[in-house]
Amino acid sequence: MNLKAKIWWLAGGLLSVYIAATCFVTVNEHEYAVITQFGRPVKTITEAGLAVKLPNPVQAVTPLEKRVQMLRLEPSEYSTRDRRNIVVDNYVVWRIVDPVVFLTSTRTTEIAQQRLNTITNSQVGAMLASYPLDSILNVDSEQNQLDKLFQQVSERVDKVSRQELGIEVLAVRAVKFGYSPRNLKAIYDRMSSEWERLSKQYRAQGHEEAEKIRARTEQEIAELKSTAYRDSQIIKGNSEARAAELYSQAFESHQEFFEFVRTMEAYKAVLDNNSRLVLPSDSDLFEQLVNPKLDVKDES
Amino acid sequence: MSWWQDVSRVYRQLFHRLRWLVVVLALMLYGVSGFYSVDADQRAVVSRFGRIVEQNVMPGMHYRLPWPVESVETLSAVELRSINIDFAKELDSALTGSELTTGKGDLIELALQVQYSIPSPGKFLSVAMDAETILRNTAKAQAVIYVSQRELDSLLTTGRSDFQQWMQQAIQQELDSFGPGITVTNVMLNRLETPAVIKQAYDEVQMAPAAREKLIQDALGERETKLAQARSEVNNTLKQAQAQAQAQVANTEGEVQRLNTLIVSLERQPGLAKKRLYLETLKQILEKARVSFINRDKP
Repeated sequence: MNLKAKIWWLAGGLLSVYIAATCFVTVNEHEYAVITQFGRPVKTITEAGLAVKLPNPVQAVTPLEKRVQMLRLEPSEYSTRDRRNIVVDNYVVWRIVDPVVFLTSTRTTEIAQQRLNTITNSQVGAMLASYPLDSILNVDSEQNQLDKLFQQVSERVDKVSRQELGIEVLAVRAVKFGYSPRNLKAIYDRMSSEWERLSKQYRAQGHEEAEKIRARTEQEIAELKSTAYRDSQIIKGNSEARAAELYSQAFESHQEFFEFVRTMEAYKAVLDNNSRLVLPSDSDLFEQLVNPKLDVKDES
Repeated sequence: MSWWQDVSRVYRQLFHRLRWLVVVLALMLYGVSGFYSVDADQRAVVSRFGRIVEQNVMPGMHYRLPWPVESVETLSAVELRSINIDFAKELDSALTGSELTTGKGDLIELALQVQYSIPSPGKFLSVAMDAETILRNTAKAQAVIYVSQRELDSLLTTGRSDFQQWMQQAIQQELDSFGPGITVTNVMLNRLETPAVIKQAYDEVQMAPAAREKLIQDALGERETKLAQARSEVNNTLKQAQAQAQAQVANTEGEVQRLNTLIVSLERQPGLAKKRLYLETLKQILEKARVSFINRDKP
């Protein structure tokens, strides 16, 4: 064997090893392998592990993501049925379920995401426009349709994207659902004025209650005092009556004498240090002073 | 040329004897490369030609078939992981506002922590592309739903523990629909409060019932004082009246007694007694009073 033949054998050997190697495909757990024959998909391998195909360049393999992925959408403003503007920030959880459809319709993930974005936005917009705001945001859990609304959106987007893109949409949800920041000040004002009203109401209740208590107190005090006045008057009356009775008993027996004594006492009581008496000099009282009868007849 | 011949001869002889050793050594090295270790807080996933054969390898020393047959991927901290979500610090909060909207259209600020574990690292790696981001957004979406069904007051006061429990279940349920191998162990609300701008007004409302209570208590206290005062006043009045009454009766009795005694002693000569009394009285009066005399023309 000459050198030339050796080289040929070596080249041939390497080539066949290479071709044999391209017959085997490693499929990861998190991906699909789509096998294309001259660019046309002929087989999809969904099970992970080692797979066999015809060697390159007859058949080529395109791996596709099998895992669930998340797509964040741009927040945007929608209008509800009662024409209230609402800012919604959505995300879509999706995965490829039909690799062939996916590959033939979009080829790349970027295009798929753009398409998904468009479908979702239009569905969200349509769905929001069919609900009035107070049946989306509501304290009553029967009336609150936010969860249901997004489940419906998910179903609809899923239906379209399965057919069109070979994509299953697991969930469309909102991480923001509320008023536009433009309205923020108005909402703050409303909230704080409600609270102020409530505070005032509490205070007014306090004042009212306190006034009631004060009025009751005043009334009770007045009652107490008047009762006491009445009782003390009764006591006084009783004692006066008793005194009068005592006097009258005494009077009955010596009326004239009592009158005299009491008159004398009354004089004593009335005439004190500051009294000034003007008396006629010829009164009986001073007869002895002015005109004394000194002619004492000695009896002896 | 002779040294080259020597070298090649020695080499040939050496190689002839050692070639099996070299082959065996190479095979052994290749075989040994299949050993790998998993740290205490780690778990590993083993795949054979891309297919997962071991979902959850525990810490320790392990063996797998060497490259290219089997490969290993390790995950850290599978038991205790957490993500913090603060709505105020999310990227697009400037565009959308950071507050959540309650069922009555009020706004509330929220920050929470989701704690989770990864019981199945194989699923965690193979089912979802970025499981943490998905978990994060799911938690946010569920919080939006919960808040939209509640009132501000109940959220801020009694609703916290309900909120946490509900969140844990809701996130888990949402994730279970595609099973990314995550178990939500706990949801904690780090911050749940009214927007900072209007916090003062809210705090005042919180204090208002206490203020009302204070007004009432003050009035009640005042009432007690006033009533006590009135009672003691009334008591005094009655006591005074009684004392006066007793004094009056006693005085009268004394006086009557005195007069009676006087009468008994003087009853025998009433005229004389009268005169004596009269003169005594006169004396007392004239001692005190100033007296003037006037002369009267006699008729």
